[in-house]
Amino acid sequence: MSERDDRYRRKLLFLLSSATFFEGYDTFALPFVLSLVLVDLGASERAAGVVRAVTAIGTVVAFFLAARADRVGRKRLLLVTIVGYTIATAATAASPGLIWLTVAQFLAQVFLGAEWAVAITIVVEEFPREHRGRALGIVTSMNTLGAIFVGVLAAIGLQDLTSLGWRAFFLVGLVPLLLVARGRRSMFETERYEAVRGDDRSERLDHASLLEAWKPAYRATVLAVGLVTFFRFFVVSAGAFWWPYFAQQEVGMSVSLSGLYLAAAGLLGAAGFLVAGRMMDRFGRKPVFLVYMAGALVFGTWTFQVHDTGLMLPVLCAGIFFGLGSVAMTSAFSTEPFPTYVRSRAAAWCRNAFEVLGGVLGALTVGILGDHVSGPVGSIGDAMSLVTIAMLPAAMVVCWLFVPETNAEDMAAMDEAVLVG
Amino acid sequence: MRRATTGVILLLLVLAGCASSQRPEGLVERWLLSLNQGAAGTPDRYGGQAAVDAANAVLPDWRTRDPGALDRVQVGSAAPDRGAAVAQSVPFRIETMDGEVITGAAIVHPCPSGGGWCVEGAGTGGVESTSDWTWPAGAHGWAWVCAVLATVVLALIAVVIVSVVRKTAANPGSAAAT
Repeated sequence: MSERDDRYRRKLLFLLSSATFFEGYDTFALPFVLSLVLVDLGASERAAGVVRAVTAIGTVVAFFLAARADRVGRKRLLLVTIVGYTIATAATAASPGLIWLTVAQFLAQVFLGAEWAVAITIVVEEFPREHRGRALGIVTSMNTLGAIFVGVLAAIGLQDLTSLGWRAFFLVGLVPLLLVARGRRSMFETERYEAVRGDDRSERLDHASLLEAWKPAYRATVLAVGLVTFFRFFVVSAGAFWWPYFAQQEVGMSVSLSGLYLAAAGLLGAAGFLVAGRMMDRFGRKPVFLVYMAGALVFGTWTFQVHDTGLMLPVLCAGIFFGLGSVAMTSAFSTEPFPTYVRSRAAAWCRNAFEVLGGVLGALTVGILGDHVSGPVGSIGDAMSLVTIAMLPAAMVVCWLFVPETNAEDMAAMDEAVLVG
Repeated sequence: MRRATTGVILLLLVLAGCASSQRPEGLVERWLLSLNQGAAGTPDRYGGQAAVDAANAVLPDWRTRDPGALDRVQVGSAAPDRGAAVAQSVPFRIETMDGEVITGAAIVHPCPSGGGWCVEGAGTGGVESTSDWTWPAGAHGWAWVCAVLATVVLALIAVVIVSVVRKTAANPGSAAAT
């Protein structure tokens, strides 16, 4: 029996899903307990804004770590990022002050950002092409479930169950360390990475330069995929950031009801990842992405025009289904078109450069346009709908014209072509 | 990439510069939200001592309430205040976590220092909003046309950039020549 049989892949999927689960968990843990942190550490809202900005920079810095996977290997980098994250989250739990907490959360975001990129790369390299989409759907959906888990823990009152208070939320982040202890021995380096690095002809390839992904052979694809992820995340990130404010201040929903809606919609919307994964294996990455973007355009725009609390839930569910679910396809776009020796660096460019930039600018643009006192639009809901209309069709056009279909891509043949050429 | 980022930042600055004059509804909303911070609240930022006095009239115990004790803070459309030339009356509705509902209206007037509105006073009781307490401001018709035009422009720019990059990548010599 092969070492990499279905049983091994199931175990691998579990390990990778755990990594992306805690990426979503940690991203939402701090915002959820922020008010408790501020009281405990004696900080102001302004200081909280600085913490948020500094930790966001960690996702950008993760680019440099994620790109190292082409040099040190996928398995080693995944284990390093998991260990690094657990140390950072333990340090967060032990924070004696706000500066310590900020540094610890910055480091956590660096490791988590790289962990996500290398997890996606491993899926693409270890799963046969007929199951890659499904595996990508499962791994990416865990991110949303991790975020929901924070809400569940808050709802059952984790902060009140022990004398640890908000610190208990970060101790939960130590769980991945147990998985590393198990996975370290049973996990292999990816077959594709081993094959390429073991081939003498790969000596002449550049395994280290960050700019290798921008050489003529890959440049247009990196740019096209980068623009697609930029346009998509510009809208998705702004929507996720501003929906609670829109629901509470413009629709008139209570804080508790908006939280309940977000958790329910997130849970149902997570199905969007799984459906996307199955559909992209069957119909191809590009057609499914275009359908998801069309759905996100309609339901994303509609979500921010609804002022009826009864109608809000189904429309929000559909918006999350299509908007967040489309990350399964962008994960494939940013990894599958590139040969193994440069794949992690190309993915790092697409995600940590273009996508993160889109995320920051999206929330900023909607805030400027929709500012209730002085914004040109004066409504977060209308600003969000306008941005959705402006951005998503552009993502669809670029994808349709320039992003290669990789549904039937043979990774081994692609690597052989590079080694021969 | 750097040029594109600079362009986007310039666009945002232009948008910020095009910002309309201040909305009294937005100011009253922020003033009320500042009462939801407990002792850390700073209602004086919205009109000095008059805004603090108005806060005391609406929620006498705002300083001792827990942060987040107000479950909903909503405002309606501003209307000219009766008998005043420039002042505006902004109706509001507050719902606390305990289910207590407080409605009222805040009076705002142009700040003496210029540049926006200041809370001058407030009273509670018996106020209804014509907008049914949903946020009253929103995009004009031209904004939706602009959004459609923006997607066409963005798509065209992206298509041109990727096409040029693809062409130069296929013919590295022509890129070097240019």
